[in-house]
This record gives sequence, structure tokens and C-alpha cells, in this order.
Amino acid sequence: MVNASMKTVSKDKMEFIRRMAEDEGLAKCLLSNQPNFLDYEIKEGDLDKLPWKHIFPCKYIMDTQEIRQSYITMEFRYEKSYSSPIWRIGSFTIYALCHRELARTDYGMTRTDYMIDRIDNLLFQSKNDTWLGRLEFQGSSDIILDERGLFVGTYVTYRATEAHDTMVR
Amino acid sequence: MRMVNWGMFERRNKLHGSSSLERKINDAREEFNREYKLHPAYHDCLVGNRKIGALLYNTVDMDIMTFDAPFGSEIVLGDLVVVDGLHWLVTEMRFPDKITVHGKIEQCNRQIAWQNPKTGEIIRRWCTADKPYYRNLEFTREVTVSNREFKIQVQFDEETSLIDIDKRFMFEVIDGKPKVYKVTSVDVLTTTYEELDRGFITWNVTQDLYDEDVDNVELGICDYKPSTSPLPPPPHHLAAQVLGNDTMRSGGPAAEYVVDYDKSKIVGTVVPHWRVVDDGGIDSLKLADEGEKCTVSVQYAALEDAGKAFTIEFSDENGLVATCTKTVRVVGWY
Repeated sequence: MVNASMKTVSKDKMEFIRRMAEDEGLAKCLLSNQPNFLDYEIKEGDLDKLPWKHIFPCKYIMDTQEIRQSYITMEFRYEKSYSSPIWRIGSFTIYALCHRELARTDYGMTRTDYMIDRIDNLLFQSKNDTWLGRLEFQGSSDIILDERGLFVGTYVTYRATEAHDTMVR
Repeated sequence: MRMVNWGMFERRNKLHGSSSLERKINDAREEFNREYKLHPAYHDCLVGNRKIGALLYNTVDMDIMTFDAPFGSEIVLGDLVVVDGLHWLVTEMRFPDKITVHGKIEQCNRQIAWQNPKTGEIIRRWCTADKPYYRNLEFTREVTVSNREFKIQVQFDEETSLIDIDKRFMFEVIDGKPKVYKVTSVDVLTTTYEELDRGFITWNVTQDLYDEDVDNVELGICDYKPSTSPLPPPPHHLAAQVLGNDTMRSGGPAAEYVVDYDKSKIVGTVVPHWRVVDDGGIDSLKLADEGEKCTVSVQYAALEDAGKAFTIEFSDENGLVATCTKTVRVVGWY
């Protein structure tokens, strides 16, 4: 039997994937390896390729990578309220990563910077709905993700402040 | 009183050489040339367009063999040898011992393809692939990439010498998934010889990632760029013929053959090349390439060579003059 808290947390994770996949710019950026990826025309079935192939609700990409692609992965930390047994996502980190040969784009910014920009925009839009509420930016940095430096990326960390003020820190 | 024919005596004495050493060497060569085709290890080999016979010996490694070929066989380090349809790379050559040519060949695993960076021409070469060290997956990171590494050996030529670090190759396709490798080390220094201008190149390759936008699975070529320039028109060959005697004497003086064509119609430079395309089983046949002409000799006045025929070929490496041949029959000395 699945813990009620984990059900909520898992729903939140799937919501991350749904919102990212529905963002046109982000989808084009993940699906096309070209520097002018915004010219890519999304075809039927393309968006189905994003969950678990380009967007992962966990920190790690599942398979051994043999293809140059771009990815979004996530890492979550959970917090519990004093007054109830429910715990929810307290803070999270989004990793935007791509093969280093794909980092350069025609848009005056790196591919991972573009992805982080779109993600930040998505999360900013969510502050007024009932999903995560208000978020606090906690930090961001560039990273190299594998030992040979084939994949480069940028991560950004947020803390959910609005719904969790009463939670244990 | 019987007169001694000193001329005949001297000629018989010098039949196999003018000195004791030369006669010993010639005798040993003749014995090898006579016997080696009867040896169980004998194989017909193709080196480029040249057909040579060689004794191939097994070694402890199943994909490595050593060989002995007759002295003067045109085979050098880095040559590709085709034996029974299989490709082998010459990776070691011993300094010739005046009797035979000895070396080591390694069996090629696969043919790799790439494009010439300037012309876009697709180049294919046979190569050996070996695993020098094993370092594969690293699972403790956010992204796991395969780190398989191989040592590749390929003949040194004007195309392979252009390959540098970061060049990508598609070596295999497993269940429809292409496996791409990138050159991480190029060693031209230790396996080529400046004085010979021949040898082979060693590359270390590490597994890289396939990119469907730039890699062509059908052709097996990474970073493929479709050719935009039309193919050059086929060259117009000027007719030519080989002039010279139709017969020559076994053991006699060298015969001269000259190529004949209308030089006034040539625009550009003719690069002549002579070779024996069919030796007719005459082991002592020698050809000296002297540009527009060549000289051919059958070294020994051997009775068994009488009646045999060989064919020589003239070709122009620049393709301006048509390739032409001449067949010559060997007749006895007496």
C-alpha cells in the first residue's frame, strides 16, 4: 500500500513532467539537436517521447547514454508538518543538461541556459495556482555530469515557501 | 688435341652469380622459389593489385600469422594482404635476408568509413580492432556513458593520415542502435617510417554518442555531409600500345619495352607505371620500371621456362593515357 504522502509527492512530480512537456519552447529544445531548435516542427507523437526519455522525475537518467540528447532531471527533498503526518516537497533542484556538442545555440545563450529560463518561467507562473505555490530561489550553478565531461548542465534549486511555512525545517 | 672452350666454361661458372656469395644466395633463392609452392603453408595472396605467393605460419594468436615470401616480393609494412578473401594488415617486417621477405600480419576485423574533409568522398579502409584496456560504465554519476575503448590499426596512406583527434566513426550497429566512437589518440610516430614512407597508424577510440542529425546509419558514417559538388567527368584516355619483341630468351639479355602514344595530344603530366600482371609461373622474371620504358629479364636459362608466356602492363597514374598490355613468350637459349 502506497503511503498517502508519497502519492501526493508522486503526483507533484508527474505535474512537473506534464507542465514541462507542454511548454513548446522546452519541448523543441529537448527534441531537436540543431542550434536553431526553435525552427523544429513538433510532430504528432513527439510529446509522448519526452517523459522518461528526455524528462526524468528523478536525479538520474535511467539508461546508459549512447545518443547525443538533452535532458531535464530533478531532485526532491521532502518536509513534514508539525500538525499532520503528511509530508510534501519542501525544496527541489532541476537539472538541465545536454551533450556538450549541443550546448551552442543560435539564440545567444547556451541550450541549458535556455532550458533553465523556460523552467523558471513555468515555475514563476505556478505561484498563483494550487500546485506548488510561491517558490524561493535558493541557488544555481553550472555542472559537469559524467566523468568524461560529455554532458554539461545547469541546475537551479527552489524552496516551496507558501504552503510549507508550518513545516519542520 | 682437344680445345677447351673457355668461353663456355666461364659462362657456365658464372651461371648463378659472379662470386661464391652471389651463387649461394641465388641457389638458396632458387631452391626456395622451387619448393615453397609445394609447402602446405603456401597461399596465393593479393597485395594491392599484385599477386604474390607466400608461406603463412600460424602463431599462438589465432588472428596473427607470420609469412615468408620470395625475395623481391613487393610487400611492405602497412600493406593490406588478401588471403582467401580475408583481409590482413602487415604490422611487422623483418629486414630482408636476401633469400626471403619475412613479416607478421594481423587479421582485420572490419571496414570503417568516413568522408574526406575536403572532397566529401567516402573513404573505406580495413582495420584491426583490439581492446587495450577495459573501462566501461560509471554508475555513480547523474549520467552514465559507456567508456569502451579500442585500439585500431589501419594502413598509413594519404587519407588515413588526415585523421586526427575527435574524428568520429561508426563501428557497429547493434539491434538498430549505432555505436559511435571518437578518436582520442593518434599514433603515427611509432609505426610509420619516414624513409619508407609506409607503415600503419594506431588510433585509440573511446565510445562517443550517436547524433541522428549528423550521423548516417545507412552509410555507417559519422558527421556525414551530403556531397554538393558534381562528380568529376570520367577522364579521356589517350590510346597507347607497348612496343617491343614478342619473344625473349630465358637467361638472355634484358628486353626493352616502350610505351607509344601521341604525346602532342597530352595536356598534363603522364605518370608511367609498369608492372607484371601475369608472370606465367616464371619465378625469375624481373621488371625494372624506367618511366616511359621498362626492361624485362628472365634470369636463369632454365629449360622449364621455355614456352611460358608473361604479360606486362603500362598504366598512367594520372589516367591521361589508356592502360595497355603486352604478352611475351619465353624461348630457350639453345
